Amino acid sequence: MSNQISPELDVLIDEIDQQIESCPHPYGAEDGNPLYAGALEQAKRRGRQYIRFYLSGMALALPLANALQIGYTPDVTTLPNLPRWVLGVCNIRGEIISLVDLKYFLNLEHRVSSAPANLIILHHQNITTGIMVDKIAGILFDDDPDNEIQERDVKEERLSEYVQSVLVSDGQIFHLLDVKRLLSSIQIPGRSKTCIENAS
Amino acid sequence: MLESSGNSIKKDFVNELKDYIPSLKRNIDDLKTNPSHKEALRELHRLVHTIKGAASLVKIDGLSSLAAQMENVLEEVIGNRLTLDDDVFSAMSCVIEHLDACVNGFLAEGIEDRQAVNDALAALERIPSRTSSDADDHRPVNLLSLTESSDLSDLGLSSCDIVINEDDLPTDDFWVDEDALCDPGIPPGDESEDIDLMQQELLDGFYLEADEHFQDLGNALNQLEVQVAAPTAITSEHKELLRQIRRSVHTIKGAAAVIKLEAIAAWGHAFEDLLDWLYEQAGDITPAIIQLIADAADMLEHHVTSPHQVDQDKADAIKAEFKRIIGPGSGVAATADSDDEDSGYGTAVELQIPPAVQPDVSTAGAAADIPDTHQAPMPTGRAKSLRVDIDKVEALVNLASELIIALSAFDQRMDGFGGIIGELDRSRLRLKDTARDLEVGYEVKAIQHLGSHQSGLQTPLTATSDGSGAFEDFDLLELDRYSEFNLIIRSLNETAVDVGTINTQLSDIHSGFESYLNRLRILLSELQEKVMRVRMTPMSMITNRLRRTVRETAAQLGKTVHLVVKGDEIELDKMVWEKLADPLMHLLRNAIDHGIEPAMTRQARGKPVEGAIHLKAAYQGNQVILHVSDDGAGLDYELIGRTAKAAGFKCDLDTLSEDKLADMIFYPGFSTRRDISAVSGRGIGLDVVKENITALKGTVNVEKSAKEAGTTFRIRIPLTLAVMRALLFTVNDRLFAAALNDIKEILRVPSKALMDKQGKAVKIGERVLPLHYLTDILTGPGPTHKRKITPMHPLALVIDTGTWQGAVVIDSMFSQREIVIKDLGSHLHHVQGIAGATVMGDGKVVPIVNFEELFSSESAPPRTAERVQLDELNRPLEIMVVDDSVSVRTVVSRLMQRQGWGVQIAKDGVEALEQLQGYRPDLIVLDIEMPRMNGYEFMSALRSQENFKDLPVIMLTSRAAKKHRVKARNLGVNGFVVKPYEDEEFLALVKRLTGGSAN
Repeated sequence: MSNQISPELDVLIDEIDQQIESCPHPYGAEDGNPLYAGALEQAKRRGRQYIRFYLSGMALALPLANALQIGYTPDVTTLPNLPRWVLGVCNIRGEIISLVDLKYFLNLEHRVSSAPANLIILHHQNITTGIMVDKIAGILFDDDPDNEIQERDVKEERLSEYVQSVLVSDGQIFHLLDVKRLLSSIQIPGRSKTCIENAS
Repeated sequence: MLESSGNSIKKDFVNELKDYIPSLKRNIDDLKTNPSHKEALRELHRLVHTIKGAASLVKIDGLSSLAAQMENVLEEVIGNRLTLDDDVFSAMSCVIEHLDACVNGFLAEGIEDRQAVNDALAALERIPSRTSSDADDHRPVNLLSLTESSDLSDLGLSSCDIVINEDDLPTDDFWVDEDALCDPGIPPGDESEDIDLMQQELLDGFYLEADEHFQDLGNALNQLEVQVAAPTAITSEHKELLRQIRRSVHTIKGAAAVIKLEAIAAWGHAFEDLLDWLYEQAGDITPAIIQLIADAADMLEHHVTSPHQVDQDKADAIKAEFKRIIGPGSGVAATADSDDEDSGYGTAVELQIPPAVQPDVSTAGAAADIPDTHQAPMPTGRAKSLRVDIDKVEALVNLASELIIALSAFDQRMDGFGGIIGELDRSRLRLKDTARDLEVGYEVKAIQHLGSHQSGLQTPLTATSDGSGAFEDFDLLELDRYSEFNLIIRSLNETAVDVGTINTQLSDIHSGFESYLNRLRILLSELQEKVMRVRMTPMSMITNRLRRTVRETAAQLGKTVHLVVKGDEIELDKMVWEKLADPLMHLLRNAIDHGIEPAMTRQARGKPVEGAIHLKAAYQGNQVILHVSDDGAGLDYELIGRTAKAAGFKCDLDTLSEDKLADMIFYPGFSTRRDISAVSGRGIGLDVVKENITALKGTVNVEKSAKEAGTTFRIRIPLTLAVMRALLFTVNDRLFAAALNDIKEILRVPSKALMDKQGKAVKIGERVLPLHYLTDILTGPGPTHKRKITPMHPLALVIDTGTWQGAVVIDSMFSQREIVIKDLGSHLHHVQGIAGATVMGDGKVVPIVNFEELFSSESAPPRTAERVQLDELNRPLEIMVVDDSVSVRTVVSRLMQRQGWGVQIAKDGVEALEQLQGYRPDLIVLDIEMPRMNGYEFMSALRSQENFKDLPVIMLTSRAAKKHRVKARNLGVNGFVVKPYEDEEFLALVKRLTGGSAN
């Protein structure tokens, strides 16, 4: 019985192979392949994802690639001699991470009704820090043709330094946070320098 | 197998030789066109020497003697004892030709072409000008080596075992060991064509090996330096040290020759000549000679570490000095001596060298007058070692640290487990009591009752089972009769006993766990210590470098200074030594430049002309203390003061103590030097020293400095950077840690010890110390802030960090334990006053306080009233949740915690009142129905207390009736929330009642 089947199977496999070969390769390596280019374009577009969140009633977004983790407010340990906008440090899975209160840092309104409830851990190059936000609204994909990144037209002057452009999604505006700039400007200067410098 | 591995190495060698031949030819051609071409001559000599060394190593004796002979000829040429004429050239060409033939012959047949060698040797012998000018007995040597070379291999090889420091092996086994020890980079029998890669491996191995030998060399040299302060006759002790130096040099040379680092090999060779001469022939030894050895050793190290920057002139000068010391007469002999070792024609050695040398070149026990040199024990830690990537060790250390944290988490769970077992035991007791109450109170009654009625529930079991009153004849006292009720009581009792048994078993398991845990803890700390020790290396690792620095700097400045090192064996993390080397070198250079006076001044001051710098290392607790002291001029406080003034320090310099002035030299840009030299005076220095040492969590200060009596710097370095013993304490109910090492005393400060009204200073023993209240400094007033009053007898830690002393007031002590130090993350590299943080078993982060930095003059401006107010505003709320339902407690606390507020929970009114003894929340969330003390009772108890009269209380209940509300309001409840509630509304109420002081 098996003797009868095996040749049939062989034939079948050959046929399948031939069919596969005649098909365009899904990620065809040829440069001119329009299918391939389309897929690439789509992947590229899909790669741009953002986290939407709210801070003092303002809708903000930041690239998902810069976020390591999101979660609830952890136990915070405060430290002395730090700027007011550094809340302290917390332990995220064995690693000590600093927490920044973006409202203080950006001088946003501190409304009592909006105590920050969520944490986003940001990472860019060598710096990792957590920012406290009021509410995380979700993820924003920009492969939707309805969404377009517009050139900046930021009314919020106090944010202009950290917001380069806005995203529009279903008529809603999200200020896109410049994580790189933010992280480089929250750097804590090294230890305070000398008597000589003080004197001069 | 032995044979084949030997053959493959030989094959490699012959291949290598093949590569040399074109260069040899080229150089000879160069010389032919221009006989005074020194470079070509030197190159030729080097090539021939390499061939000689390598050939002797791989046991091709004929080739090695041929090369040796040619080398002799070349040396004669270099030494101007032989002129380069046509005869010489033709002889050399003949040698090359025969080398070529020999190579081809070997490759083809796998054997040496002895005839070719013989011919070539004969050609060399025939050089006419040579036979006339060189009347020594080289020829018999050659003949001997020629005819007997095959028999002499063991003697020839014995030179190799000097190279590898492994001598007590039977010569038969030699190949194995040489393969293993001499050339770790070449697996036996590997005929890899990837020579570059192999060469790189060889080089890596060589540098590592050389490092160790330089250490040994440095140690021996230092001892010799100490012993020879004035010209003296060479003693056996000196010889032993010389031998050690020589062995190191020889090993380096040998290894260098094998991997074709000709420059090193050549230099080592020359250096060895001097050492040989000293060892064998010199009668006296002088400091000058030691200096020369030191220079030569430095030069050798230069050759190894930075071969492209070798100062050829200096090298030549040293070489000339060698020649001068050895003397022209003995020069040839000395050269020949050392050659013999390399070339391996050992009979010659026996023929011409005094017996004293024999131990070095042969294993024969003929030299009984000198202790067997090769048997000398090698420095410890060398024999059995494994080179491991530092990253791997690092990973191990980290894992061990993580284990400690994990274990402490386990510890906490165990405590919880123990608590629950206790709880179970109490429940069991209650169950038992209840059962007994039932038994005593009701069973007896039931039985009496049964006697009179015999009806209802209490139908006697005996009656039902038998179907008749079979035992009715018996009186109740004569026979017990059981109802179902009786049985229930019985089974209740039994259950109580069972629960007791289970409880005992659980306790057993618990204590079993405890003991395992203890064992684990012990093992873990041992593991950690051992892992830490893996990275530990003795200070001798860097002392060599330091000595060289001293020598070079002293020479540069024309001073004579010697460095005395004590505590070479003190161990620290390798990385720490590496990082300490720079600051130490800096201090040493400073000591020589600024400290040690010029010879004239020293003489005038009645000091020995030679300056002395002492480097002392010692353990102190879990720290290593390093002292760097010189016997120089001491710090010029006046000059420091003037410089400080000129630099614009605003401090009142006239009143500054010498200690404070001494501290100034650590400020960036501070230099009292007016002229900038290569050594110092640029004003970048001590601040960098301090920075480097601070980075290692260490401290540096001027311990003492007296005019004309020298300066002593003290450096303290913690033994480990990853773990430390710490005291955990609370300030404002927040946990902090401090290095136990810095804490000298823990005491309650009696009010009479406070020195001034504000209590800013305290007298402890005879000392008056500044007193700081940590509550004022460590940020964030906690929940107790409002009721904070200065206690009558504040608890204080007396701190002595070596550079800062003082007392700090804390709230309470928590515990003492080993903590793992972590940094504050990539964002907060450095926080003033905080040395790092540790993670507790429950995941809590505890900051580690660095008192010195916290209170040093550079610290941040004092907290203003405004800042305190801001902090007060920013302070998270503290909420107490009183409810008997676990789920309500959990849900409410989660909600509060999400706001970043602190939550304290209580199960009922009694517990809440107990907790309020030492705690004041900002608001209480209260249930009505609770056991022991209900919400209403609690309210009346609360409001009766003066300090809780105005504490806001929200009643959270499912009772929505007006009656309940009114009752609550009358009792002073501020808010009333009915379950189920809206989160936002509830929070808004909380915020309103607490006055919106929350963030």
